Amino acid sequence: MSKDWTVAVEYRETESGLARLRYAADLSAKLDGTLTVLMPYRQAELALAATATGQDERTCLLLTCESLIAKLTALSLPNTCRRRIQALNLDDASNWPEPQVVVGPSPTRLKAEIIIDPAGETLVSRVMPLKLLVPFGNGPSASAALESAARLAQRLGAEVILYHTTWREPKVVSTDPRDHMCTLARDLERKLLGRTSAFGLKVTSVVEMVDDVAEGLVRAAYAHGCCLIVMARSPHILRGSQVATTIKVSAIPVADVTVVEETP
Amino acid sequence: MSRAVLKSPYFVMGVAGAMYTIKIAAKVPIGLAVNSPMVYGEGLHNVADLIIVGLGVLVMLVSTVKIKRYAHGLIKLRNFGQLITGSLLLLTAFEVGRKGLAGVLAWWPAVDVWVRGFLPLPQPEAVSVGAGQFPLLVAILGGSFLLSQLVGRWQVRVGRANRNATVTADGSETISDGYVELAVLTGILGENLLGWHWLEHPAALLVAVMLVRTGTEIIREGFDELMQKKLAPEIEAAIIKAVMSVPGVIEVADFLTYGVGHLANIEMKIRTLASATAHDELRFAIKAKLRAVLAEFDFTQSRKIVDCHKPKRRRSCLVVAIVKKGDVTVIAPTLAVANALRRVNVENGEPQRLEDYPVLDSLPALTAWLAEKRTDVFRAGTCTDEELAAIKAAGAQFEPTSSFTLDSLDL
Repeated sequence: MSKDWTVAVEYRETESGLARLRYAADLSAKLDGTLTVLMPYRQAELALAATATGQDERTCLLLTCESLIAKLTALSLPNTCRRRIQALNLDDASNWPEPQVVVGPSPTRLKAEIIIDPAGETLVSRVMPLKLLVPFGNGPSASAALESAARLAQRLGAEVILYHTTWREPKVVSTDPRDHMCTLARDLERKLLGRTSAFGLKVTSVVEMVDDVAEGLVRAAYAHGCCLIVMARSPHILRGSQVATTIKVSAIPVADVTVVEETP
Repeated sequence: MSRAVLKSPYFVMGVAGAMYTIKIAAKVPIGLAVNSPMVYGEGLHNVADLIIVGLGVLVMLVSTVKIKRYAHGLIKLRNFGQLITGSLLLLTAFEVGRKGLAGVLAWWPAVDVWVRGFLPLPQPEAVSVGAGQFPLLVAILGGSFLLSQLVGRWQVRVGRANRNATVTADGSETISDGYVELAVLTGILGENLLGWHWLEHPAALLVAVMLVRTGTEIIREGFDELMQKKLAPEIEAAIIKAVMSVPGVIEVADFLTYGVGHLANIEMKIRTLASATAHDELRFAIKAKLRAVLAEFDFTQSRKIVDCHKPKRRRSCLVVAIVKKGDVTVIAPTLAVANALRRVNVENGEPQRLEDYPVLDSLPALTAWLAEKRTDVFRAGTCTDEELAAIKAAGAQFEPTSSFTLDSLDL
């Protein structure tokens, strides 16, 4: 993946749309990346708009982009944020960008490694230092989440909190949740800790026994002052994904990492 | 004696109580014997200190007792005790002050006669310290000062270690009382070593002032707690700052605080965009923050009521000039080319209901229609000055759009 971070967000003039834009701008400034503001349109809409203005389509599109630039300037976004406007032809996906991060509700039109739903937040974090929470179970999706989270954390200078919930093992007397972890989870924890350390990041692992996974991890995110929860949606789960459930119960932004299934 | 006992708040308060009892038993009789209001006034001050220690122990004992009938149990008994103790101190201050004033006024007979016209004053009595009494007096006052410093510092250490505000506060009071004892000792030494017998009466007045100060402080503290005075502004500011640092919180509204001893009560309503399913976790996070903030201000217990609400409902009406052709609709670049008007009910900045209407054939008709529909905002690419005037005449404001797609307005 390119070292230059690109954060894309669709332009919307609603309150929620402008909040997402501010979040995306703050994120791209902190990543020292580029903010791409997308202006989606359909060919038929452009044709009608051009006819209505008496201009050719290219001019109409250019003037619209200029108007958008003026609007963005008036919004007082972070000065350190590099910005560009991209008109997105919805009828032709061949020229669509592939940013590293898309800010908006999941799923989005674009392919991106990370989709972040800012949950109404306009800043990446209200407090310092920045911390990312990466939940893990015993499946492989956590590794994908961690890779993305680690790259994000490295660029942001953030800490990583690994979080795991485990069932109570009836045969185990100990009250320490770690003693109730299954072997797969323990091995995965070791692997994730090693991988995070390899990025040179400060990492903490938290293991709890809770009744509800999504509620537990959101509470842990609050308890540790995390600004982002990074999760990967397993492609095998058809319904009841923990990512979807977490987004419902979380007022902390959730990053949905795309898991690319390896073809045999 | 085990270390655990030495670090027990109950034990250290018991030692403080024993100390005050000894001080009272020593100072009051010797002060009366030598006719020194300064000395026995100080001894009576220690009576109030003993009562305060007793109230402190009572609070520690009853604060854990839950009684259904009373929301805070019996913890407010301490406040009644404070009012009574403070009042007794003020009475003592009056008595000691009267005697000191009588002694001082004896130097100005004319003023003395005038004051006695409206204030009943006793006859001044000379201090009479016998040869054998002087070393005893010095030993009592000097030893009292040293005990105050040792016991007071021990109370503060134990109070902080156990996060017990009652013990800590009493320790601070004990230490500061020691300085009053030092002043009284200085007065006795001055009188007997330097022959400054005149020092007794101003010193008695000084002790009376200290008694008034302590009495009013105790009464004020008890009254404030009984009346449920709000927490200090810096505590409230710290609370607001902590709550606003929680993701999801937009605003803190209807904020109410008060303290009962080391128990803090907080009631607040917060506004959030988070859905109802997220409110439980938001409340959990806010309460955790509140616990941390209150602990910094030595509140060891707290009751927190946090209500989550959506932002205040803001409704508005938006009209967008549009161009429709078949299935395709775009935002009209100007009103002149628009062939329809899309009226949108907006709630909290998000579009709700949409309806399309035909364009009007004149600007006055447009004004009337916009006014009838209670339009707040009119949008198109641009508008002429006449169109702008017509829109404003309807009480609406014009906002130019950047894009031609209705998607950009979530329409």
